[in-house]
Amino acid sequence: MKETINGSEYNFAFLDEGSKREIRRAILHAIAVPGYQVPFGSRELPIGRGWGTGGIQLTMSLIGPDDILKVIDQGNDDSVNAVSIKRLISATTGVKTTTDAAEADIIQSRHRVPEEPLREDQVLVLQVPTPEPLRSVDAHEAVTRQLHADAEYTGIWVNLFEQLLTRGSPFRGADHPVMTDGRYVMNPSPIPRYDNPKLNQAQCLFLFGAGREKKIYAVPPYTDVKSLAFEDYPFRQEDMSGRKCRLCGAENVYFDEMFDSQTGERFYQCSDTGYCLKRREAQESKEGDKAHG
Amino acid sequence: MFKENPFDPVFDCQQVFKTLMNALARPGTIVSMEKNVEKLEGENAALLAAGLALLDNWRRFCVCGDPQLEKELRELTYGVPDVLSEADYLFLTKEQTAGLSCREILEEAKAGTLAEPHKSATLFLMLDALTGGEPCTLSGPGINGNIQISLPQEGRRWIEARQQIGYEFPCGIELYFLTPQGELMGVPRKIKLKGNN
Repeated sequence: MKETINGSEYNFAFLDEGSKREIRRAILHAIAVPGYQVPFGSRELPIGRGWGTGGIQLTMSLIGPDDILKVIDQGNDDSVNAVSIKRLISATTGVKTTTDAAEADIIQSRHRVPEEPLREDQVLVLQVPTPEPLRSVDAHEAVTRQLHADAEYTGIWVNLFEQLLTRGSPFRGADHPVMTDGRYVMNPSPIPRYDNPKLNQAQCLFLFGAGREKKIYAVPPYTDVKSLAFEDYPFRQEDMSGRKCRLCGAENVYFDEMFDSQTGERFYQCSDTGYCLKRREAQESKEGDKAHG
Repeated sequence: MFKENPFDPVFDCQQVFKTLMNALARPGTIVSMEKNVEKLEGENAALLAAGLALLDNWRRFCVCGDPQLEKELRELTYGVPDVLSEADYLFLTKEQTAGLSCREILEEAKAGTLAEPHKSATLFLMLDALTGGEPCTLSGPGINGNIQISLPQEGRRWIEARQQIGYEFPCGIELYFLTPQGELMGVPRKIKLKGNN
């Protein structure tokens, strides 16, 4: 039961069982009411709030010794945040980690949904900095809670309309709000708009954890998730057409853009590094087969 | 109360929770926590397993008049026994699932409020089997279109009664159906039942 980090002993998955139970009860309520933010007693972790503590608490409460874990940060398996979280979870549970989305049982992510469609047996845990889509409408929790209760979403529509008037587009760069199951307006966490449609009628379970804001919410599989848009301004994703990954040659995926200030050249690279690596390995093994065959 | 192979408060609770979560995320599908349930004794072992995963001294439960089950749950989990209208979790044995008035129970149980729908009750209902009844379909979030189930009438009447009460969503009550062998089906509040006849 005890796991060791630098000689100190911890409970399996770091959190004590009472904390896990509290989080698990909140998860079940969140699944029962898709898009509703369930308050929970967010625990202290050896990582600052706002650095993925909501996601970590969800993962720690879900994970078992036989699960395989993937952690990504902006699509990247190797960023400092992803590696630190992976090391903490792995050190306190002993679970196997992977970069392959298809191999993972639980994927914890900051700001991206993996390119590969997820299966029914997989759970995607998303880290959420700002769970309340109506915070820009009213600063008070009691008020926004009542607005959700009344399904009174005029304020956020006005916000989007103001944005259309002032910036020429009603769409946010990331965290563009969605309507979940026709009832709750929800922040999908700061994923690019490119990923919003992946939440709609997905096969996997999405869990959202906001540690600093002490909220958990969920989108069960096969649930309607529609990005907010006006009739005369239909929802649009970022345009990725005409771009190609410089490493694996992938098209029609979400790209990171790199700029060489000396040559003025722009490069594109898959934002989902696990997907890119998998494609390159497949290409290499194909080439190897050809060379030997 | 424990057999030779004891129910592990860490790993068995995690597995039971994961089963409860999968059952709720995929309503109408039958999942199993058999290997966890068989570590506990008695015909209500499946109810005890669910209680061990969810109850502690911060949560109230009601067994609707089975003192033995109440004693076992209290001693195993430190959960607080309370009246039906205050309970967060309700555990009903086979006899109670078949015999009690579901309408009365559901009307008295907590359904949450529009602002705080999570302050609602969850019912764990024991049945002999989760199949063998008249076919009917379930639809709602978590289900790809609709799913056909054949829950026996003793269980189905709880879903029908919940539907008849017609809570204003997001208020409502979650239902879990369990068998003594540890089979499990979840039917969250948003799920609608339609008969095939």
